[in-house]
Amino acid sequence: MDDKQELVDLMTRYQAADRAAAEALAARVYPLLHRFYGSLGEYDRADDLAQECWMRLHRARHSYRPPEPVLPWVFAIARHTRVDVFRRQMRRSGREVALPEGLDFAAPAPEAPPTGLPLLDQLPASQKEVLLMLKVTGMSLEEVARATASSVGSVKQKAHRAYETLRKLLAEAK
Amino acid sequence: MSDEEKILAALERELPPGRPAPAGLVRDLSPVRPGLSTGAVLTLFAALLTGITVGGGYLLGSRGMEAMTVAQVMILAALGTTMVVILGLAMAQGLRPGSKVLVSVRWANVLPLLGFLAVAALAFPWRWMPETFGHGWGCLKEGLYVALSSSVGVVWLVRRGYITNWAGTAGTLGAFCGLTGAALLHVMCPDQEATHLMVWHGGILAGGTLGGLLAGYLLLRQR
Repeated sequence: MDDKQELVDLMTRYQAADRAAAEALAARVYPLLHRFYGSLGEYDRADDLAQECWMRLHRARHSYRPPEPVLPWVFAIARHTRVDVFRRQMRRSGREVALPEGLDFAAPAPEAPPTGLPLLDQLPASQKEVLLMLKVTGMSLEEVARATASSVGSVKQKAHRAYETLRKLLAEAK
Repeated sequence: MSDEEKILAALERELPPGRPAPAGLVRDLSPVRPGLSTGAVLTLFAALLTGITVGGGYLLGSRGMEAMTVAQVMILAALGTTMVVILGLAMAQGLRPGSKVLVSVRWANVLPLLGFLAVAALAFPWRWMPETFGHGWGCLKEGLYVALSSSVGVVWLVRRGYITNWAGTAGTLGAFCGLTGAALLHVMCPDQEATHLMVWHGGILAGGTLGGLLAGYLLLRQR
């Protein structure tokens, strides 16, 4: 059974409330989500986002229809989770009141994102997202098109432009 | 090493690692039924539209049908079928995240209104009578009530899926409700005149779509 077929099988069993399948699916999907969010420049919030996304995947599990590919379904929800969380934070930040100076409630610094992502950060968000889905998750062009609700042509174009930019950057770095 | 391989190697070095799933992520498991197929969504949409139009026409009268020619009825039936297919496809993809994009949601929200205006302008006579123009308010109100009633069936359908793009999909739902209202009104209303149809019956479609978009915006703010 290939990787994608195995995901379909796990997802189908997850819908039937098979705990082992649900845990196996989480073990496969969660690291991808964490890496996806971390690579989009959200490293310090990647855990929160990945957990929020998993909760949404759980609530939305009835909307998956076998034998369609699982990853486009996962990443379609993952993209919207990020946007919704961002929007929610923007709304909340508008209602926040600044504390008097001198109080130190600063959270500990995140473990990693050490130096940023010098190559990826040069790309526009939409190209970055497409490139990550293609390369980090191993989705096909058609699957990325499904996840981003766009056409294969548009995905191809974004990936091509991203490659061109990265090629130039690498050439300049030499 | 090719350029592409170099790029991938550079990216691989740069990307942060993914963390394993924390313990206790999976809980509250209960079996669920998989989402509806595209065919099922289309069939349900068509059944809802037909049921409300035929049932409403039977109960409330069909003077509009009597006022139309056979050609006009056939053109409207073809238009209605096309709209149901477009809206049904848009809805099916809106209810299932990661499904294949067959119809642009933006176009699906606008096309029914444009199609209706074009058919009303081309297939119906222009007999502008200012004194009867005001009667259209009644049509608009009745149509919007029907649209609102049909939203009950639509909400049931929505519960069988999961909407990620609320802004666009709610507009599609609203357009469908508006279509139902406009369809029943077409069967009932004896004033089959282009201006009346475009302004008042078209207003139901526009009102439904705008209502849906507004509901989508408000729901989006809750998330």
